[in-house]
Amino acid sequence: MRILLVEDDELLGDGLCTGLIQYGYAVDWLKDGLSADQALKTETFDLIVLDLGLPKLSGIQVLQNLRSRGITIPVLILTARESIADRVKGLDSGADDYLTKPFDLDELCARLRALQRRFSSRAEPVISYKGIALDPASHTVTVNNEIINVSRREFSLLHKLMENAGRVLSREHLAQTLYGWGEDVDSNALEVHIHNLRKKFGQDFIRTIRGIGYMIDKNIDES
Amino acid sequence: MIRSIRHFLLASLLISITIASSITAIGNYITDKQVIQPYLDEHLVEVFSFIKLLGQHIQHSDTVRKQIYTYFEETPSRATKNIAFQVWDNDGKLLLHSSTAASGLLKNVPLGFSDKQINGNNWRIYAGLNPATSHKIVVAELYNLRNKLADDITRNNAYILLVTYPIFGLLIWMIVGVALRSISRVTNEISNRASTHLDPVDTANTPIEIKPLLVELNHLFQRLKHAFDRNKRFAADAAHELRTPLAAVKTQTQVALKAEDAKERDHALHKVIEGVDRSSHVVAQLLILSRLSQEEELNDVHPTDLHKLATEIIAYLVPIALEKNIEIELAPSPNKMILGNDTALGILIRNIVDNAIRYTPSGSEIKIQILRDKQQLIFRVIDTGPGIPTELHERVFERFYRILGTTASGSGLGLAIVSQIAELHHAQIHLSSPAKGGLQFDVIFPIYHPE
Repeated sequence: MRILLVEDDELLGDGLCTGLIQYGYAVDWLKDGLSADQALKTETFDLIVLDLGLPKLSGIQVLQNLRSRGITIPVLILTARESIADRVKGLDSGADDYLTKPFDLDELCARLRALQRRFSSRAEPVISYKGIALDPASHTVTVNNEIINVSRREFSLLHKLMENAGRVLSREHLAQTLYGWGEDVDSNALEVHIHNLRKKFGQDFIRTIRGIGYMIDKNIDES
Repeated sequence: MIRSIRHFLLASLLISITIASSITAIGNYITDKQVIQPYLDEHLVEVFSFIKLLGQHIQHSDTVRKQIYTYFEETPSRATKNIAFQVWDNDGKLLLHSSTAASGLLKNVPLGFSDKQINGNNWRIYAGLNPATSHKIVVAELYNLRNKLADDITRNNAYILLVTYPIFGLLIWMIVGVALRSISRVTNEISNRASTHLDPVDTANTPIEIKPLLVELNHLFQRLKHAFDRNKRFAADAAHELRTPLAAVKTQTQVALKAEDAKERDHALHKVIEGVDRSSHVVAQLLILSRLSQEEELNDVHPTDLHKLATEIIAYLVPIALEKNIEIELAPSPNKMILGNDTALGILIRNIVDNAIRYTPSGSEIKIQILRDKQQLIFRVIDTGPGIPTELHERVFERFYRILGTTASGSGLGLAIVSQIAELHHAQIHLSSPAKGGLQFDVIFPIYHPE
C-alpha cells in the first residue's frame, strides 16, 4: 500500500515515515502543500495522511484541490488543531478521518486500515481468497488456518493483489505500492517478490499478463 | 473614612438640623422675650390704671380694699395672679397691697418704669401718683413670671421638633436611598457577572457623581479583557505548539519499540531526544515570555554596558556559528551605557543573534554593531540570510508566527520575546533589508545619562 505523507515537521515526519514502513506501507513524504498538490496530480496513492498547517499551500487547500479533480483516495487529516470547528471544516473539505496530535501510531494505522477497507467496499477486516486469509491488522497470512511467513514487501504485494482480485495491476503500479521515492529498487525486485509468493501459494496463484503486469483471478469460491 | 454614605448622611443631616433648629430656638427665645415686654408693660399700666380709678375709696373704705384684695387673689387671670401692687398714701402708709407684695421694699421706687432686684429676684416695676388722692401706686411683676410666656413658646417649639425628628430621619433615609439606587443598580449588574464577562458597564443613566468611577472601572475591564484574551490565546497557542513535538516524540518512541534492527532503533531514539529537547526549548521560551508578559515595568534596572553584555552572550553562540561555518563579528564600539536589566537584555541579544545564525546559510557572515545616534543607542545585527519580506516585518513578532517554508527549527517565540523585552526597555525595533540581501535587525535604546 502506498501512502502519501504530507507533514512539515522534520521530526514527526521522520517518525511517521519509519513507523508506517514498519506497518508495511510504502511511504512518500512531502514537506509542503505545493509539492503535495503537484504529486497528487501525477501520481496515484492508496492513502493520504495530511497535516493542515503546511507551508506554501494549506492542507485544506490541497484536499479541496484533490477532491475538485474527482479523486476519491481516502484522506486522513493529522493536525494539532482540535476544535470542533476545525474538525468539521476538515471533514467537510473532503477528509475521511481526522486525528489530532499527539496520536498513537497503532491507532493511526488502524484508522488507515479501516479507510482502506471502506474504500475497497469490504466489510470484513480479513481478506480471504481460495483458503488464503490475509489480515492487514495483525500482518498475518494463513492458509487453512496455518500461518505462512511472508516478508513485509511480500505482504504488501499480496495485499494489493488480493484486494484488486480480477483486475490487472501494472508493474509500475505494483512497484510504486512497494517502494516509496528515493528507496533503492532493484530492477527485478518485483519479479523476485512475485516468485516468492508463487512458491508459497502455488504457481498459478498469480497470473502474468505479458507486457502489462500481474493479476489474481476473480475469486470463484469466495465464502 | 465613611463606612456608609446613608448612615453618614442620616447622622450628619440630623445633627445639622438639630444645630440649626437649636440656634433658631435660642434666637427666637431672645427676640420673643423682647417682643413680649411692651405688651406685658401695658398690662402693668392697665393694673395701675384700674387701681388709680378706685381713687379715694381705697383710703376710706375697708370693704373696697377687701374687695380689691379678694378680686386679685381669686381671679384666675395672668394679670391678677402675677402682678403685685402696693398703694401708699402721702404719709408713707401702705394702704393696700397684694399678698405677693407685703414688704416695704417697693416704697421708694422711682416713678415710671424701672427694674429692681429684691431678694435675688428681678422685678419689672411701674409706679405713679394719683393726682386726685396723692397716692403712690406701685405695680410690679417678677421677670421670671413674665418670661414664662417665651419659655412656653420655646418649649412647645422643642416638642414639635422632637415629634418631627423621626419624620426627618425617615425622609432622609428614603431620599438618600433613592439617590443611591443607581449605585446598587451598578452593584447588581457587576455582582451578577461571570468572571469572564468583562464588557463595559452602561454609563448612560448614571448620575455624574458616580460616572467617573464607572468610566475608570470600564477602563479596567477593558485592560483586563485584553489581558484575559491574550492569556487565553497564549495558552491555546502554547498547547498547540507543543502538540507537534509531543506527537513526534510519541511516534518516534513507538517506532523504536517496533524497530527490527539496532540502527533503526537508535535513529528513532535519537529523534526522541531531539523531540524532547525541542519541547523543552519551547517550554523554556514560554516561561520567559509569560514572566515578561506579567511585568508592566522592569525591576532590577541599572546602567548596563551593552557592548560588554553582547560580548559575553555572543561568546556562547560562536561555537554554534562555527559549526555552521558562519563568521560572527562584533564591531568595537565606544563604551555606551543603557539603563536596563542584564538578564532580559542578555535574552534579547541571544535571541536576535541566535535567529541570525539559524537562518543564515553556512559560509556567510553575521555583523553585530553598537552605534550611537544622537540620544539613541542602536544594537544592530546584519545577516546575509534570506531576509524577511517587508510585509512580514510586523508579523514575525507575533507569538508562534513562523514564516511559511521555514525549515530551521524554532519555537516561534524568540522574536515575540525580543519584542517584549524591547518594550520593557522603551526601545524600538526596526527591521530593514540591506541592498545586498539578508536582514538588518535594529533595536534602538534610549541612551543612559549618568546624573
